[in-house]
Amino acid sequence: MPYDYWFKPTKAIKTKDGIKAQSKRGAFAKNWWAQRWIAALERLVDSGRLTRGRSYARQGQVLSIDETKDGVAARVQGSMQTPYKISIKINHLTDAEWGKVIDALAEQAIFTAQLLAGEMPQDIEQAFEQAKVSLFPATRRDLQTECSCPDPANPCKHIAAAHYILGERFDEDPFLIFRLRGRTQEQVMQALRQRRAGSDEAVEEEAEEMEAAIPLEESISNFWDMGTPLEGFSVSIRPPAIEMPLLKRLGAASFVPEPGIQSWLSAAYQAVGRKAIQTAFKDTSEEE
Amino acid sequence: MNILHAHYQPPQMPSETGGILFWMETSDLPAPKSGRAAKKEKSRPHPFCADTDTLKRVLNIEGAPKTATLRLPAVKGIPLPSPQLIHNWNLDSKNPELAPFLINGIWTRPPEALPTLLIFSSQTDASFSPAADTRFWSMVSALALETLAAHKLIPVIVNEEKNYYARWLPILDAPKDAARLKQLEDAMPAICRASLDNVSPKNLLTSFLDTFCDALAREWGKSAAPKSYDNSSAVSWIKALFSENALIQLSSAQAQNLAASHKAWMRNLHVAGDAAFRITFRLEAPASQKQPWQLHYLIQAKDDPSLLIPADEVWKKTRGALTHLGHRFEQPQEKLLAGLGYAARLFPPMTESLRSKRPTELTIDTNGAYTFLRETAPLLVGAGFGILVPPWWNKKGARLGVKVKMKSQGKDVVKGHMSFDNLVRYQWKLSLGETELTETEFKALAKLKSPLVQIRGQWVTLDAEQIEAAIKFWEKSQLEGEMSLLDAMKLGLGGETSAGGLPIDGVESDDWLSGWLKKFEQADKLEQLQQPKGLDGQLRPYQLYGYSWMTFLRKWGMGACLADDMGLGKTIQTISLLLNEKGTKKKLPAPALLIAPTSVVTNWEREIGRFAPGLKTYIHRGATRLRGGEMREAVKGQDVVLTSYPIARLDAESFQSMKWLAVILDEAQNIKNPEAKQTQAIRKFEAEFRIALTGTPVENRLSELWSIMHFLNPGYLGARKSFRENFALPIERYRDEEAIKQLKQLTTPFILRRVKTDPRVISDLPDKVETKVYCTLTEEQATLYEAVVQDVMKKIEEEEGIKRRGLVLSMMMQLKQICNHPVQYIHQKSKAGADVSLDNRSGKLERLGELLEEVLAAARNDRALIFTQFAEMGEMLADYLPKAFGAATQFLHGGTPAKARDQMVRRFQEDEHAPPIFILSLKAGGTGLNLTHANHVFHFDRWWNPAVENQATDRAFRIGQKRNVQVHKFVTTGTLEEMIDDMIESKKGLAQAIVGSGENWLTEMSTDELRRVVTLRRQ
Repeated sequence: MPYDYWFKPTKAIKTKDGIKAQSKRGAFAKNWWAQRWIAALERLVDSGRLTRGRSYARQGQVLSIDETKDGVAARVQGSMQTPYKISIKINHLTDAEWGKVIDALAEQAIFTAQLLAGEMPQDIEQAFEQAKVSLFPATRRDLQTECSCPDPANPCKHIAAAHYILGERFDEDPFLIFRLRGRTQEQVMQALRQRRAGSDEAVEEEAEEMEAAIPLEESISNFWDMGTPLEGFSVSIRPPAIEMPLLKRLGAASFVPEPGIQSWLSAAYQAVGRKAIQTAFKDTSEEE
Repeated sequence: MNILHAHYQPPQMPSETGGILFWMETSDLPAPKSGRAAKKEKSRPHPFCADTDTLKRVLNIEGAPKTATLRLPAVKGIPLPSPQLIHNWNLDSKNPELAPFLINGIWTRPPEALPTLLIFSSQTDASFSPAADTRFWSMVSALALETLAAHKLIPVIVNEEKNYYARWLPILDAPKDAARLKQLEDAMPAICRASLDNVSPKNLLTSFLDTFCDALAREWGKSAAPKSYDNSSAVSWIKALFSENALIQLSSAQAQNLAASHKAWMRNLHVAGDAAFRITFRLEAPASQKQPWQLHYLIQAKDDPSLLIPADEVWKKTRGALTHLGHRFEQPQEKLLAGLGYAARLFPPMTESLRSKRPTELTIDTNGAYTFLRETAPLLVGAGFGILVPPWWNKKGARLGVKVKMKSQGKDVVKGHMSFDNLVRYQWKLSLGETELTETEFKALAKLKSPLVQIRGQWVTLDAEQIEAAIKFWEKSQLEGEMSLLDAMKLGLGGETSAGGLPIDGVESDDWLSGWLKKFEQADKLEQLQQPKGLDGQLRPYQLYGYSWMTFLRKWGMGACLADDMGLGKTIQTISLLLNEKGTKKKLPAPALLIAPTSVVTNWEREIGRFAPGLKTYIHRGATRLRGGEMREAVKGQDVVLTSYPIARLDAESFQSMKWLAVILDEAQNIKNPEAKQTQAIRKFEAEFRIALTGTPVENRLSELWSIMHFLNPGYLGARKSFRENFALPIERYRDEEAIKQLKQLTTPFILRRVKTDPRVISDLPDKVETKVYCTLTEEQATLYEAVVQDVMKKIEEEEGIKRRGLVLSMMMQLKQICNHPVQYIHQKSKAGADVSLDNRSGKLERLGELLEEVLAAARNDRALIFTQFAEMGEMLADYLPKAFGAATQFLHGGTPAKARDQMVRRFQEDEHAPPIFILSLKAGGTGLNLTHANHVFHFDRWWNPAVENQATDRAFRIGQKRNVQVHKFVTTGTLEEMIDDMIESKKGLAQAIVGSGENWLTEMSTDELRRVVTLRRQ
């Protein structure tokens, strides 16, 4: 498309190895909390840069994205040979602020329950408001971004691209925002556990013992036989009561394109199940 | 003889796949030579490992030859053979130590290994047996098949350094799985770890399941893999799930990103708990319809469902793990919360209860409770949660069902001649709980539109689906009619569970029918008969029961299978049945046809003569036997007609041309093959009732069971093909519990099997049971026998003194040899080498084979001593029996060195793998030894000196013996064996005195006396 060339003076160098956004068109992010994250960015950036940022994310220009101690570091392939380095940070909450947040979260089990089930509770923002802090970046100052590209605007399209990819990670992992705010899942959970128990004593972790292999020498007397007889061991080879029960248990996989993981694999599961039953009951006895 | 081993080798890296290395021990090679113990680190070739060509031929598989080093117990540089290997090498087995050996095998990947594992693990015969490792991995691969069939696997991503692989991972987290895996772990034979002893059984087992499930799903799913691909990361992963090398073709950043997404997706995999505990919901019904329902949150131990910890106890814990009676649950609060969060997504009303700080339960209304039970509970169960529902839920009487009422037809019952062909009137009714519903009542209830209704204080469910089914039932089913007694019986025994899509909740039968059915289920409901008139002998209590039972089934025209252990007296019970039929009448209304193996026909004749001299018996055999009309005429006045299986087939037309009172099959396993001409011919014989006798555990040999049942009660177990699909394969290969249970229920009424160890039998049974085993000569034996008698008697007439004596003793010896086996007499064995066939040439050997088969089939670790006075015969048996039965033997004779002799005795007494058959020459083994591990003693030929025989018997029957001992004394009918046996029996006391030592007394007989004793009485 030759005329495109004229409208895009800084054409990004194509790459095959970058991370492609799951979203192919329309809005990024499926869940409200991820959308809230995207909105925080979209308030700060003009529509042209957002559009280009989106198409960067979809083309796979984001080469890597890693969580660091105090934020996120990303590399984005732009028009120059060397990819641009990007960092995105959100202000950490203070220990005191976290204390109040935890207090508010501990009041209702549903916060923990939904977070652990992979969902951001609908009214979690109210819990944060009780502590007079905000969960998502609310102001320009909350969101600190940097990019090594020559564009004077900040956030630039590269930052936008990384931000969109990050938005998709949010979709899958609501704890990401907690980490960006300075607390890991384990830290939050442990603090909540103490609140529930109504004490501040340190939670003990007990170690599990290792699985040890019995030396072969000790089995010489019974070397060839079953250790204990397999009496009563029973196997029932049957088709499933519900098809693909485990995929149903896990639910939709946001990273798998339409029509979704169950549709992609349904025929294969059926073929495998059918073949297993056929093999199991293949009658090899010679009919005399 | 070959022993097949399956050695599982796990993959070394995520990019590899594991597989099975098949190898085989063989005793077809010369005895291994012992050397110095190998240096520990240096492995030497396994001396009796079959070469790979032989292995390929035996298994009929393709695969690459491969070697492996296994550490095996060895003595002096020779590995110990597996206990199943039958060999005649003389190996030292004292103080073995592990030493490395190089084995040659065939390497197969899971898809190729699987059929071999499944087929060969259940195949055992004289020349082939699978080792414990093969049987073990076969069972594990069946579990892998169960997992694949039930779709219990998920696609995962495995990371190794910079590479990411797509794999299929089996998930075994059903409540029974933890226990099953533990059972396998404990069962794993040590030999499975012979090349990797630093791997724990648990890890090796997991690796096998992972490897097999992945490889099989990859292979079998390939053809159904998604066809249209886009270029997203996820699709590269899906593609790799079906590719050979499993590598995901992505850059490491892309793969890492994908793996992070995948990890988040897997979050809910163990949302319901872990291997030890799971989250459980308990729904409690209110006392009345107006009150709310309670849904409680709990934690439940998987292996002990009664161990329930309520949520508020979990909230009190601050520790990282919850331990309870040896169970450990990591992070119980988070697990419970995650589980609740997950459940709340499926059942939104639950969200409200989670608004509290420490939720413990939820209050819901009737509709909510119903939605939970009907819609949410199955989803939660699928996700691994436990659900405790009110006890009535989905139970009989708490939902719509049907009842059937059965009524016997009056006049036939009175006559006492009801049979399978008689009809029972039936009537189907719709039921809800205890209440029967008329159509109007049902419609009124359906109008309530409440899924849970309380009727007389009882909660019952009434949902749209059931209502639909009920309407169809009314419209489509034949609600009233007649059915056969057979169908009524099936219904009564729970052989059917649903009718027209509705569960059968009740089978109501009138007094007569229910009383009748009970007799099949409860032994004490059966009427015990008195011992029949004309029986010369005393029935033991369990025999009285067996005979009453057969008579009861016979009364209803149903075939019965008496499957008592050998030695419990199936013969006398059967004779009693016939005597009872005869009663005070002069003869039976029609003769009973009794078919037995050729070698046992004479035995039957003798036993009937002994126990029921009043039964007129006719033997149908021999070249001059009558056929067609002549036969019918000849058997007219007879009570019992005896014949053999081969003749039953040859003369099938004659037997089919008349109606018998009964057809009785002895050793009914002879009709185990339903396709065989013999079986088909016998099935066509017309009779008022049918009896099958067998001493083998028929319930474990399913094709045999079907064939026998098909003879006894045609059609009852369905067609052969459907029987194989529904019962035989699921039970034989996978021990499917459902199928086992259902089959047992269906067959119990028709099979009576008591074993010697049954408490009610053991108290009736003497410690030692002696029986005579009558057998016949084959034509070859008879010809030889007569020739010897004619030749030697002539010489005896002409000689006197020492010479005459010598001739007599030599003749006795020769005749005994002929009775044993023609090959022994001709000394063919030593002349022609090992290739002379012993099959079908000696009636005695055939009979011994049949008896041994029963002894070994009992699978109770029965062991036998076989005494013979001829070393040559002992050697023939030692050589022949392993080949014929796949059971190992030991042979002790005069030439056995003292050390070997002690070793044999010790092995027989102490080693559980010792050969179950111990052959001893009477002279070398008849005294002194302690062989109380044996519970069968066979006297293959006779010394005609009861004292000597008893002394031999006492090797087993002495202090230290914990079981009953059965003594089998062989007698060849019509020969000197029978004559002398009779003489001893008729004057036992005298004989003791006369025959003081040896057989010299025989030489004192006059020539005429002698001629009378030795002349063959052909039958």
